[in-house]
Amino acid sequence: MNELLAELKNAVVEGDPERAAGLARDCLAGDIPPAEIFELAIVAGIQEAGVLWDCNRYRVPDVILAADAFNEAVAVIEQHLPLAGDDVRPKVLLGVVEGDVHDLGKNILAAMLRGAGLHVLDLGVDQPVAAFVEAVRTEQPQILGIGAYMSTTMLAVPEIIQALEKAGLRASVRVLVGGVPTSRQFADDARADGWAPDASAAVRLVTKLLEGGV
Amino acid sequence: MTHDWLIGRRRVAAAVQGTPDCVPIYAALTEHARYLFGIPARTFYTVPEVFVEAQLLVSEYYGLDLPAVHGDVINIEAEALGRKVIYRPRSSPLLEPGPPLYATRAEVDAMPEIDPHRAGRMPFMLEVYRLTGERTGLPAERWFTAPFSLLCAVQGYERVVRDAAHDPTFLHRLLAALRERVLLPWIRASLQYELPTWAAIGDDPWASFPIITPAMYREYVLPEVVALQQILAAGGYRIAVMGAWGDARTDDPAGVLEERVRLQGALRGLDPDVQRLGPELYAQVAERHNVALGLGLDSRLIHDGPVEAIVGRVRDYVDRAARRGRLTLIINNVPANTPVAHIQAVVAATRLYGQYPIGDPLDALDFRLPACEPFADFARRRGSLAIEHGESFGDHE
Repeated sequence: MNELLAELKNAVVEGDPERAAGLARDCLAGDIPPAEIFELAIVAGIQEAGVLWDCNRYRVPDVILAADAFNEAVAVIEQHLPLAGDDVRPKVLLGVVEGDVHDLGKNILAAMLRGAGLHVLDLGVDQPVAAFVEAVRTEQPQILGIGAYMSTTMLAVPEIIQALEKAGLRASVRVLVGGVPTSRQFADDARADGWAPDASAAVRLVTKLLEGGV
Repeated sequence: MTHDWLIGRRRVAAAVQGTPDCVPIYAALTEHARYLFGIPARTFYTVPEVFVEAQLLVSEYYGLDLPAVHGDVINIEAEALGRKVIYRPRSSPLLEPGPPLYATRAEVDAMPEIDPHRAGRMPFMLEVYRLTGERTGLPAERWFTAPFSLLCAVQGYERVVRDAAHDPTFLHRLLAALRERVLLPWIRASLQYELPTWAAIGDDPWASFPIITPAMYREYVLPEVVALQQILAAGGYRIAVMGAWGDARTDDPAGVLEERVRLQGALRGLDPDVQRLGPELYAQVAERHNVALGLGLDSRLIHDGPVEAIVGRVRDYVDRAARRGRLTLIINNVPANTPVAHIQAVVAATRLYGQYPIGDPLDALDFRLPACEPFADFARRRGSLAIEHGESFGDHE
């Protein structure tokens, strides 16, 4: 691999946003095709951070800083990437249920999904049922990820799924559930399509669902 | 209230020192109590009589050994400093997300010393302590937010992570200000309030692995707790800091447990760590340091059930960690909508398997879930101000 690309990948893995942005500019100045910079260095870097998380070598702060570096590097090169990118990439909509303002898990998942090459739409935290339904109607995502981080707020998850059914939108979207108090049983009972215990597992599940593997 | 909490208190004291008649059990069940009574969050978390009566009555209903009157501990100091608290029907009070309270060194330096008798809901908590003492005859447990978790509450966790990486001197300055101008005045005021006591407990959920790195723990968590301990010890006070989890996510779990003893003056392990590492490891570390052991049962298991799995977990922990004495079981953060029968199962199983001398084998003891009076009937029979504020009282069994 080109030495600059390797350095950029390391800057993302090590969570150094300033160095990552500088190296992304150096890569562009060195006439490396933007698509190669994105795939071979920036995405490869955030994916390696995910692997280090999976094998228990990275903690949440390491992943946050890697995501920061990923975002800074992407900001440098995104104007050089093909304009049609957002139109063809699978779309994932993420949101946290009403009454719940925990955004850490959602933010980490968003960064890791972007690193997996997906178009991520962030609905935000503390979102009422109607906001989920409206966003599914207007954005038409392939995947909806619902986060609930409290035992009481997670009761909104089946309500969102029922509202999607009532609106005739349920068949158009695969629904995933995540958050500390949730479980596979809870997701099954809510008639979701999947559950993941952490962000890394959620990325694998989304990938499988998009490949039609679940 | 006529319940005699002294019986349970003696059992817990006996377990701290050695071998009681039975392994004690208690629970943090604030949101579960609110749920059973159907009380709106704003009322529950701002009216001391309602807050205290509801939790005492629910603790008594389940036959817990200690009254559990906790609340949203990690909001209190941040709210006193100006963070807005929002009340939603389905959750405990939440700190409204927003920019960090302190963006510059000048803002940190201008932080005033809080007045515990006026700031935010500190007066509410002081009244909660007084009422709890009055109703139980025992000094209420005093709680505070541990330094690192307070830092996250006022700044936002992600900002703390970024400052730890890029501007550590700013974080140290802010931690020192929080210690001197918030935590010390608040802890001293709460300990000296009626009924006065000499020990307080810090809640430190943000200091959990993998939410923090080992380097952050060594730089920001441990030194601040030790500094608080030393300053308060000079006045004859003690603090223990708990609520952090993630022991099983570290490279050296035994080493982490050794550190926990230092911060807690005892050892408390929480599921899923205890389940993953095994209760024996916790028992061994506690024995090596000659301290009492508390094991926190998995709140998701208690919520989801089934009863057989819950009873099996209690039997397993008693079997593997109670034989030397000095064990207490805890249900850490009972989820609001946990079925009543599941908590009854925990208590009944603790009473059956936790009787000293501990049976061998415990499988030989036949567990049966006792028939219990419905909670609503019990509460009506006892009478409580909390019933009057319950908008959906009796709907959740």
